[in-house]
Amino acid sequence: MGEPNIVLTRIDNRLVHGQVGVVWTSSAGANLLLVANDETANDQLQQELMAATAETSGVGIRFWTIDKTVSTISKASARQKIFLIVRNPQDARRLVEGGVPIKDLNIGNMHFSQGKTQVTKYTYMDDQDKADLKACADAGVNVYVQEVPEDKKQPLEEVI
Amino acid sequence: MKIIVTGHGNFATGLQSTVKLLAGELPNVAFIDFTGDMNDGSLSDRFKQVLADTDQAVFFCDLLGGTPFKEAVKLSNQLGKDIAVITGCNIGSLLEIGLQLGDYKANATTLAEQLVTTSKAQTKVFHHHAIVEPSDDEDGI
Repeated sequence: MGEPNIVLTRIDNRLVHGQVGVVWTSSAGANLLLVANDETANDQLQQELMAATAETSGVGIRFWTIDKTVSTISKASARQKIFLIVRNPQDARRLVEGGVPIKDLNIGNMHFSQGKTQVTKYTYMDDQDKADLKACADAGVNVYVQEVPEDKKQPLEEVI
Repeated sequence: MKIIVTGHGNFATGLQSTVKLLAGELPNVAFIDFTGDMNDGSLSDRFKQVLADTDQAVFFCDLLGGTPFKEAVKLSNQLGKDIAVITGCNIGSLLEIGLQLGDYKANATTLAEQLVTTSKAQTKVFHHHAIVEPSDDEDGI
C-alpha cells in the first residue's frame, strides 16, 4: 500500500458520459475510472450505462460510495492510473477531508438548478458549492474550471 | 417504426443535411441535437415528444456511453415501448435502412441489428486491386 496514483479528479453532474469517458480519460492517461458517488454505487442501470464507455475504451471502472473511496483507495496498485469522478463539490470536499490525496480538482459540468448562479459557461454554483471548493483549495488542492482539455484552465480564485 | 438520430453538437442535424442532399426527406427518421445549452432532462423531453406518436423506435446515437445514449437507454427502460439503442453507426446504414422504413414490420431489435450489420459492411479500408474479367473459355460474358 502506497499513495494511490490519482491522475485527475473531476466534478461533473453527469459523472461518466461521452465527454468524460472518452475525451478526459484519454487526455488524462487514466486506466481506471473511479466513480465516487453514493447513489450510483447502488444503481445497477447507471452502472451499466457508465460501464459501456469504459469497456470499449479498455479501462477499468469502479462504483464506490464516498466512504468506501476514503477507506479503500489506498489499496490501489501503482500501475492503476486513477481518474476519480464525483458529482458535486460536497463529495469532492468529503474525499479531500477524508484524506484522499487529490492534487488537481477539475470543475467540469455543474448545471443550473434552483438557487445557483452562473459562474462560467457550464458551471452554476450556490454559496455552499463555493465554500466547499474553497475548502478543497485551502487544503492544498489545485482547483480550476476546465470544460474540455483544449480549454484554458481557469483557477478557482479567478471565477468566484 | 421510427429511427431517432441523436448525438453531441450538430451530429444529428449534420447527418440530416447529408440525408437531405442524397435522398431528400426520410419521413420516419427524426434528428435531435444535444447542444451545449441543453441538459439531460431537456434532451429526454425532446425524445418523448418524438416518441409520442409511435410505439417502436431505434435510437441511432453517436457515442457509446454519451448522454444521448444514456438518456435513450433510460427511456427504453421506462416507457414500455419497443425501443432499441445503437451507437457508432454510419450514414450509409441510415440511408439504406431509412429509405426502406415506411412499411417496416419486424421489431426494433431486428432493425437495430440491421443498422449495425450494414454499418460494419460499409466500414472499410480501400485497397487498390486489378479488376479481373472472366476468361473467354468460361460461359457467358
